[in-house]
Amino acid sequence: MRQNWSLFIIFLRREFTEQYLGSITSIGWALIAPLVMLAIYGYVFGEIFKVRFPEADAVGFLGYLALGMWPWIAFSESISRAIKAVKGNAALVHKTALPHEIFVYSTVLATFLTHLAGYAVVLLVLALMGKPLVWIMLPVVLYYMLLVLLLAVGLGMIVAALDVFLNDIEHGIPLLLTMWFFTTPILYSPSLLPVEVLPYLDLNPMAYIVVSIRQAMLEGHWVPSGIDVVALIASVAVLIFGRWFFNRCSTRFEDFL
Amino acid sequence: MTGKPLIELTGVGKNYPLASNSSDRLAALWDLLLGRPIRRTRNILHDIDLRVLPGCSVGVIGENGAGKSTLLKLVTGVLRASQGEVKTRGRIGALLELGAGFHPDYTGRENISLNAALVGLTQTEILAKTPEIIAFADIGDYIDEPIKHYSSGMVVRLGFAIIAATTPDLLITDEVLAVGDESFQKKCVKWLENYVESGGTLLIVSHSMYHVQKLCQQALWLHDGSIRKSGDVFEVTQAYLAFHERKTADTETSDRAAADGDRFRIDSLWINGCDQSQPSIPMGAELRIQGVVYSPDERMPVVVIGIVRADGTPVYGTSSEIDAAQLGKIDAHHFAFELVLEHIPLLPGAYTVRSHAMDPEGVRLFDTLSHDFIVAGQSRELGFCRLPHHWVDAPTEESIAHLQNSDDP
Repeated sequence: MRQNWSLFIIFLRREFTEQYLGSITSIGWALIAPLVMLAIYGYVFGEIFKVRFPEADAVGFLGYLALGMWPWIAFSESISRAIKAVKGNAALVHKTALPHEIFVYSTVLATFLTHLAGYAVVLLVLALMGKPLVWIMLPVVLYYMLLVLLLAVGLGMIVAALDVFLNDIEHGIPLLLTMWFFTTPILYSPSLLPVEVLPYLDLNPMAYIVVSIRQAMLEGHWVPSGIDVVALIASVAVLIFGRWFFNRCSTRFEDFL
Repeated sequence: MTGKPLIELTGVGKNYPLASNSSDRLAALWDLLLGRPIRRTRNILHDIDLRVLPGCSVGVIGENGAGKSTLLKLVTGVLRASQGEVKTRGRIGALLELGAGFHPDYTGRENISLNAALVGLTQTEILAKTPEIIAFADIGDYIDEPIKHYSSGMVVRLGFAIIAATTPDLLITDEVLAVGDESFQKKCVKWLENYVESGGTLLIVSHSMYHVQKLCQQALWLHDGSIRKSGDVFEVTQAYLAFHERKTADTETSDRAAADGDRFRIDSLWINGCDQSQPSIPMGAELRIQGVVYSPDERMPVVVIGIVRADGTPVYGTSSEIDAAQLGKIDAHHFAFELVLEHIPLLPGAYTVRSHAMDPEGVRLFDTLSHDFIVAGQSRELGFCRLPHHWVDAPTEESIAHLQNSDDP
């Protein structure tokens, strides 16, 4: 156990340096990419299409967008990087007996923490701009980000294991993530959706998370209900299933790499 | 030595899935998820039993592809056994193939941390050991470069330095030590001997029976994935060597059988009329080499004749193709050749005539027939061939003085 912890720390540290080594602004890149996306979406949808809905009036479209964008980026970037977590370490899989799970944990956690830090910076900027956000709700945001992490690790383990067996994963998953992005109310508010769709919205965990975070930060509204319990259990279940899936496959990673 | 075994394998087998296309891979994935055995596999190892006690090193020997590396990977835990049980105790260090457990993109320093952690050291222990490892590896500034920029020798140096610093209870290694340079190899062998003497245990794969006998008490001979023989190192290595001698003898016999078939060959060879005995030829006399060559396809073969000294040093050789000589047709398949060396300048001693049959194109060499002869005579000259020469009788003083005054070398 202690040995695995040492290994995990080594890989985590390595993931951080690998992602930002040799870049001038170092960790800044983790912020620059989402900021550029935020600017593009903000300009296209806020200025050109002039998307307007009452929920965004108080903080402005950009602020509204930023609140939902970072949880999504933390989630999707973690999954994207997890795809290669095992394959990228093929050299070690062939020669060492370390638990393969560590590859996924370190990759996902490093990516997730980077974007969590980015989220903190963005929220700080919103605070400095005097946007009316309910700051007392920050722990609630952190709780929802924890759910994002559980989901990202669980799904990350599945895609990492699948990638060893099927090359299609590398091409398919990014496409799937793009679809997922547009079906999640990040660029828009659920109120713009047709009424018939709304009951099914919470089947998308990311929709549930983004909507809940906005509700908390914008309206200061957070009363745990049955759905929150279900969501927590479901997130843990995804993690447990992902881990089971991964460990079933990992006995044969060496054979298929 | 007593104590609980460091390694205990019982009925261990390992198969590899046959998965060249994606549908096979998908089927294998499905089998894995359902927790049932993969359908299409190839067996690499079967029914391996092995106990390694502390201080009782084991050498694994066998031909290429016998499953030796797979066995080591099973013991280190890189691979999971398909059948049977693998139990290990204590700290295990492994140095397998090139770049044992190294990540090519990590720097030397990062790989040290990684490998030390794999052996079971804590972060503080790793930090304390790092300078010692760097000193032993002796690769200079490369320590902060990614491993992929290393030469193979440097990778082995670093790998071995980590093992040397962490002193595992059991060291698993294959032929990696053959990669380093002479001085590093000596350093490693010395370290290994010390390690074994001070109670360390080795599990090594080697093709060098000398090393196996020197370092190990036990040996395991793997043949086609199963144990052919195991036990005392001398018994097993000797049985293995005997097996190889028999095998080599068998292939030589079959080579000769094939040569006797329908190929170009020298049927007979005479030297100055002798076909068996060793003729003695006076120095400066004539050497007449005659023979019959066989051609399977009625075309005229090329005959190569060479003279070598008894120790095998070539003296002279030529061929019917070089000299554009015609062979005499005896019948459809037999041709006569005759080569005369008028005044052989060979100094007294034992020599051999070697004749070879080649295809008409002079490309492939098929057969060799040799015949010894002796050059007789009394001479105190040196070397093996008399070169034409003469001494200038009493050269005048002026001719030398002229040379001494000249700057010309």
